[in-house]
Amino acid sequence: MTETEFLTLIDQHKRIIHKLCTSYRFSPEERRDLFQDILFELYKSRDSFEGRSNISTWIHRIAFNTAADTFKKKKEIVRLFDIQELPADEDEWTERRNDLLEAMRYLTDKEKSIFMLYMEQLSYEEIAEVTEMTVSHTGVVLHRIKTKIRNILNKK
Amino acid sequence: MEDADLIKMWNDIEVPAISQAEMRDMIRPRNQPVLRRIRKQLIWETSFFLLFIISYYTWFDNGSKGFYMNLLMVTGFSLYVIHDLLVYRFFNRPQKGFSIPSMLRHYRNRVRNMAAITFVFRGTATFLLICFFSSSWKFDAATIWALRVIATTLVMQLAFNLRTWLRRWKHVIKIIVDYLPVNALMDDDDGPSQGLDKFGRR
Repeated sequence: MTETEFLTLIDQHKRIIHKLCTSYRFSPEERRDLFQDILFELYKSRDSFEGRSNISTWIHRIAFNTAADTFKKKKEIVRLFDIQELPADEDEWTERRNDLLEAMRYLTDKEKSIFMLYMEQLSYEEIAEVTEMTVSHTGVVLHRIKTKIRNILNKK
Repeated sequence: MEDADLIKMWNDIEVPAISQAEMRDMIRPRNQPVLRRIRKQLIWETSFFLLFIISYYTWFDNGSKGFYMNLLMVTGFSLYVIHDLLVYRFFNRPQKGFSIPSMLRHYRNRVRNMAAITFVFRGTATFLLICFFSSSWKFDAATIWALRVIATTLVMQLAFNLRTWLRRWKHVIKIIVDYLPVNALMDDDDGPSQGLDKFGRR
């Protein structure tokens, strides 16, 4: 894969990397640093991407390893928040989007990675393959994570 | 709240705009902070060693040392430089593995090997240089102090390097133990995965 092909491919999927960075790092500076680290790791590993496989899983594999390896500078204090009603308008949707990210801060790195794979609409089989879990265990784990997220979102 | 709501929220997350030109800059090795730091260290150490080699005949009594003592010094310095190059290569190599756990395991092995390489290369270099510096000095109070300072600096540098790799290794093992799925449940109080010992080995 040439550099231009790689950049074109990443340009189409950079939202995934940004969302991964947002989930694993809290400050804009740390997110940008992580984005660069992940991009560099992906570039180095570009030959390991086979067009047949799902690019989401390839990005997640490398991004998780990169995010987990780099030490977090400090843990930010997360504030608990409350939501009572389903969003009715666009402003509320924006708030809910941020709330989802904030809720994800309560997940472990492993839970985050599994949840994000699910949010990218990968099948249980694909998630199981990336995480080396059985398909049935993937279902159980995902159920727990979603319950955890919903509980946090419903605490308001 | 349905899954569809969660997925919609996820899809609607706003992300910062970043151009292809910026991304092109980001993938340049020269712009990588870690690689840049290693390059700086390599340049500093090589420059210091060259300066030392150039000046030691006049500043120290090393001109009188025999061939094998000089060989010890050159070998010691070379091991430092080779070690820096190996570290650079370590950070510049692609990740391998077809799943997150296999990538982590592969990475753990590489970190462990790098810790061993650091111990052997920098340890040997430290030993050789201490032998070299202490080989033919006429020991008086000043030279003993100088030797102490040199030896302490070299040993501390070795300890610092080794500690960095061991901390990274322990960190990766912790992630593996946390991640491994075979039996890892999601709750925080679940123990390490079955199939792994406390060092994250299968």
